[in-house]
Amino acid sequence: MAMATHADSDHDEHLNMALALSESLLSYDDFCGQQIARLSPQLPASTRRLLRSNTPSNDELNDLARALALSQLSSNNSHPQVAQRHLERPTPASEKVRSSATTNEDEEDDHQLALALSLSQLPQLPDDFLYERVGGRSQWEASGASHAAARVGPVPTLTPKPSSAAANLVSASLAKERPPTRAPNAPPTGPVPAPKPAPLTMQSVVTNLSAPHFENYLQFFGLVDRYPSLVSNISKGFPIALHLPKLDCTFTPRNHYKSRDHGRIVQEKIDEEVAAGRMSGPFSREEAYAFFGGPYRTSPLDLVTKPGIDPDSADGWRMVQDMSFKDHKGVSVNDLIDSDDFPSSGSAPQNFADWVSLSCLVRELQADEACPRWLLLRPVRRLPK
Amino acid sequence: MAAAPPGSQAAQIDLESAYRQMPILPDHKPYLAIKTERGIYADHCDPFGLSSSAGILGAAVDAAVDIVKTCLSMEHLHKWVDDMIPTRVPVDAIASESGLLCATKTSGSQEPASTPHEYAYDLKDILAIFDDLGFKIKDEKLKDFSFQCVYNGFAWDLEAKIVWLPVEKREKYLEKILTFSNPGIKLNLYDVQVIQGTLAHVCFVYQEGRARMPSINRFMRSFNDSPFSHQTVPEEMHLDLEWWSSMLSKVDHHRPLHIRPLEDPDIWVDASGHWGIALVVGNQYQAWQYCPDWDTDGRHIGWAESVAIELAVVFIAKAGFHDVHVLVHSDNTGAIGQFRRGCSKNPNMNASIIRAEEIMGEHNISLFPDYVKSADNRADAASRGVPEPNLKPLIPRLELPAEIQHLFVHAPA
Repeated sequence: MAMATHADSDHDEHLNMALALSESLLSYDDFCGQQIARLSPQLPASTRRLLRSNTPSNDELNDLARALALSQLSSNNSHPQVAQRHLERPTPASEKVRSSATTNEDEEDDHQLALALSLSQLPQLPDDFLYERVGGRSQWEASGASHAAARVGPVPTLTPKPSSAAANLVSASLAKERPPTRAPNAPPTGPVPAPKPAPLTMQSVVTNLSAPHFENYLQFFGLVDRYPSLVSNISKGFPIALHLPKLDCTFTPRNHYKSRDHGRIVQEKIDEEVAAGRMSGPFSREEAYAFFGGPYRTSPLDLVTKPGIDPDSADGWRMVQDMSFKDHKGVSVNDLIDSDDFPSSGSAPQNFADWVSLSCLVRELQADEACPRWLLLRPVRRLPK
Repeated sequence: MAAAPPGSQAAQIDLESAYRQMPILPDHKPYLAIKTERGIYADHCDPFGLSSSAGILGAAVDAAVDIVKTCLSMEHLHKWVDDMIPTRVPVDAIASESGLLCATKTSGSQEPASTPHEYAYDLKDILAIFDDLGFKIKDEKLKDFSFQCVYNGFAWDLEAKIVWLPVEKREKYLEKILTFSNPGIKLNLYDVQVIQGTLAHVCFVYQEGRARMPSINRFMRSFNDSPFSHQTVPEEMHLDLEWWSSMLSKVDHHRPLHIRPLEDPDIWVDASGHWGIALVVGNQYQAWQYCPDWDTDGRHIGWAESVAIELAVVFIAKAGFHDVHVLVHSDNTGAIGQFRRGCSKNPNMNASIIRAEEIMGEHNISLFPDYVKSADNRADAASRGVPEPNLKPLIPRLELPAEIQHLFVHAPA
């Protein structure tokens, strides 16, 4: 038990160090973007391994710290020869164990020096820096962390914009670059500390989506303008309305479902969500007030059947909240949302039918605008025989 | 909008509890609390029921779709909430910049696909991107690229170019309809909404069914402000439900998605307010004069314009057309719209559409009613009882449908 605690704190220390370093990379990036752009191809493998791994090992954290420190070193030119030596010798993740085994004392010293140097240049970490796991995947809290992570994601290693012919190559390189933790056969590279999930707070941003990866892809393909707030929304959470006043009193109406059976199914579903780390509770009224840091409101729960699934099983039901239920002031949650602010599109069956059916048309006519299909056809003038 | 050239394939990707993969802004969580017997819960993810729920999910999914399309140069990726259909066309089809992809191929040529096509990407390339972005995929719903897929609850065959209702759905809907089609059954509004919703969806495959919907819509409106009252299904709706149950009992029903070349046999129709209706084909015409009191019982000029289009259909079938897509000129946007929609709120006009659909179904005719200005409508003068002098009587001579014969006097030949 004592051992485990020790290992945990050791691990946390390494983790904090790596986070601190990635943070320092961020500030460094601001005044020396060019250098970083040149160096960044060295970083992603270890960085991403850390960012996406369920159990980043001490070695991995060390590796990251080292890579980051070296990038600092080389660009500061404080020890150009040392930096040069390291840059010439790539240290891919697969070679890590071997290279650390054969490290001679000089290099070990360089490493220490690099760490010391970079640590001395660290900016202050935000107080609420916190690392937690949800649903078997890493979650980052505090904008600092996600911001730092965003700068060192994997996609910049892709070079040219892929043509259709090159698409395979691109995907192949993407596939290759995926973190080794996704391969269940890969042996762990270091001591595996027991996961220590931090409890969710109201400030937790819970998602398995990767904001840095979204950002990298969008930037790489020039799609940022189309989704200007998406990356920030993924890392900080999506607003449910553009302007939402702070609640001034708690409102908890009765739920809609009537039978005890429904209550059981609802509870089953909520337990599932809590277990998956997507909900917190149950709380007493006082605890809830403390959790939310003030008043809160509930909307009546209801169950609707899912088509085609046995309604006797919990899977056959979808839990919905009646967000259009009005409070004592006559205002529902949905009343505060302008759904025009949240457009959602879909391809109706007819669009798909059009794609399937138009097999004998001129490609030049494929304008993006909705062109009624009969306009694409030239009438054939013919009288019946 | 683009063509699916031969060899086109589609795959299926569904997201695992898609909404729940989306994080909510911490400041907004107090609005999403949940209460049960055990206490209060806080939700951290996109719930079901917000009017912004789908938009929140859509933002991320739309971006992912755009990324996949750009990355793989995929022209079409169809999406419905969390249900995605990536498509791919053979490499040689992409390479052909000449325009016509398969203009020489007709629907009749049953050439076996002996040469396997080559494609620029596979399902795993798409999944790699989704995986990189962090999306969780529903493994049991995943389907690799093939010529068949299920989208929007319909089964599609990209080679045969047909769409149909999957058997299990068809049987389920049939069962549902049968329970409601006992004569004299009483239903509440909720029941009717369920029927209406199901059938409106199914109309995509059963296009003739569109004309079997107005009776149901009328019944729904008759509930007014008493949604929980039980009302007897009217006779007209009962008949339409019987039609639906006979259609849904058919085993091999599918909707063909072949685009047929548009035939233009030079057909013009018109109706006037005071004289009657007329049909002009080439240099021939036939006209029908109203009886007095024709415009009662909800019949009016709009109805007459519908009947004019219906008579064009009668002619097309009688002239021997089959398996065609036919152009008909009319100057009435209302009637044109209703024929394109396949139904009308006006029972008389809807009846006219049902009669026309029956003939079209029998001869596999589809109609394209097109608008012309009144001044350019060649049937305009004839519908006012003064046909252009160069027009000869129409051959073959047409009979009015039995239901409406009493409303017209036959014009002298």
